[in-house]
Amino acid sequence: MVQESERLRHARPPGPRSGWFPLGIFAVVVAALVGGWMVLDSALPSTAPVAAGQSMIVASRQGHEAKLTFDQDWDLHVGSSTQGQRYRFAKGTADLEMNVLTPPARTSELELWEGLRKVVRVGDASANLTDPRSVTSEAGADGLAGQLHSNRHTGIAALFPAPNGEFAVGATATGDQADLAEVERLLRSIRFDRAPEGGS
Amino acid sequence: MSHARPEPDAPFSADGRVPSPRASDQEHEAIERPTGPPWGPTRHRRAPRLAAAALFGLLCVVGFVLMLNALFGAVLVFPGEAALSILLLAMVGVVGFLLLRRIRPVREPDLVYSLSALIWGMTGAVGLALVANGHLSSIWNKVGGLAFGSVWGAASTAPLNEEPLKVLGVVLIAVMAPLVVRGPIDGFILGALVGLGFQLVEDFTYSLNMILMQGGVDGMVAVVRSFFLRVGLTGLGSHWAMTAVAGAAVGLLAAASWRPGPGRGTAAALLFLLAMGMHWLFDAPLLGTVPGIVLKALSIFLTTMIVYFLLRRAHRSRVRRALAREGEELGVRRSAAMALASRGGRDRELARVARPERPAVRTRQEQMIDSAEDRAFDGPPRPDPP
Repeated sequence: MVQESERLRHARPPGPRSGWFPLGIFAVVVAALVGGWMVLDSALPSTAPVAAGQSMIVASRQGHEAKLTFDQDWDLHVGSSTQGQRYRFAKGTADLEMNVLTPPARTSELELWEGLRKVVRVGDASANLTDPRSVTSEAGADGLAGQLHSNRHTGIAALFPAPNGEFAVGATATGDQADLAEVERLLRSIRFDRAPEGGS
Repeated sequence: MSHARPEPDAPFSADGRVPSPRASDQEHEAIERPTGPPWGPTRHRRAPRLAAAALFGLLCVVGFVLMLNALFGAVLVFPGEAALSILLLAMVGVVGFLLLRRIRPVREPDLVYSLSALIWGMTGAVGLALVANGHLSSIWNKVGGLAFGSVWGAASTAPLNEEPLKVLGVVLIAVMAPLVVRGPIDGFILGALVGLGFQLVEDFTYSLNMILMQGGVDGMVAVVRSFFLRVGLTGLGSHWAMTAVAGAAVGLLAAASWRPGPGRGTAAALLFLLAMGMHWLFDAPLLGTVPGIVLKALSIFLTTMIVYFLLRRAHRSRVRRALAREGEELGVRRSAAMALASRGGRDRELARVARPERPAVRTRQEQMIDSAEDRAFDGPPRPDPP
């Protein structure tokens, strides 16, 4: 028994630091994973310029893809964008958020607009959309557009369902009137093309 | 078992002596009792426990606020859908909680700390992961480009952030209540409960996200669809399984009083890496078809089950050995003492006792199990008694 105690004493070095050690590890891990990533993220540039004249595929589903063509001075918020799903663009004071939606089959444009009315309230409970008007892009894509109002911002919203009905591009933007005109210009550039062979 | 005494209602020792008495609230007293050899004045051990408890409470509150901030807007706009999702996931949560506690060999873990593990998974781990994941995903997009970040971001982010943040809950519990994490099986069960809590909140988040991805249309269908995908299709091989394996690593370290030898340290590191590897596989853009996703979930589940059965066998062996020693000291037949290592064995022993005597015998059984589990991790593993 004495030998056993001696062995255990050597196997487990005594000391009141025993409980502090895992707490120290805890603090280091939390600091690294929360604070460390935060510092590194903020040290990297948050936006990347989009080349003027560039066409960007923002969605590609079931043989169709949606493209936007940018003019000068547009930036992409790289950190908060996800390819093919969600994009945040900026130009001047304008902040454009674009989401690729996959509505249930046979959802009408107006039903999607009603859905968008709810979706904009998720981020800002005071946000509301006006009734939509029909719009057609330069490339002939039909969609809906309206005004966005909230206690904090005014802006615009637009919705372009893909011709195959498999997805839709929804956009909301806030900013000064001049910059919102630039957003409208960008949205008018939207086009839906058949994806090349092998495209999803 | 077949050698159990025909009259187990007789005193547990030849001289009528019973194991050292405990207060009425046995479990909690057991948790507060110091482990192993005396390491110094109790007050020196109390400070880290209090610090761990304070950190635990604080981070659970912070995590809850962060979670609420992220989800509250969607819950307000889609209250019916959110209620349906909560209802469905609550049922999964209750079943999972009962099941995961039940699979601990010998006896169920302490209820209070089981709930604490679940709560850490649902609040502290989720809140911290929301912040950490947001920044790391952003870093991958910025460094590797949007295409890389969008395809590999989840697999490169979640294992690195979520596995450590979830399993830190088990670390805090092990510091707060050392006797709750006596060994790897305790870490496994508590880790599984942390993972379950995390999984429930993540599933809830996914159900709300699916409504938004559908454009806010047919929200109820989106919730049911999300539930089927996240629970029916991948639920078996999700967070509960990964964090169970990571928790076993913490259990190994805690059992060595956080000073493991090379063997135990390596085993703990390998278990933690295995958990991260499983998480990577789960999130990797590989085998993206439905059969592929099911295959990934099943492989994670099977890996976790292999780890579980190895730990379960080792734990039961240790407890049976400790019970045999306990029995020798108390004058209880070896086979009768060892039978107490299973719930069935204890129930069978109890069934042989006259009904009025059962509460007292149950108490004595619990005392022997307490003592045996205390002793089970006091030394290196030895061969099973015959």
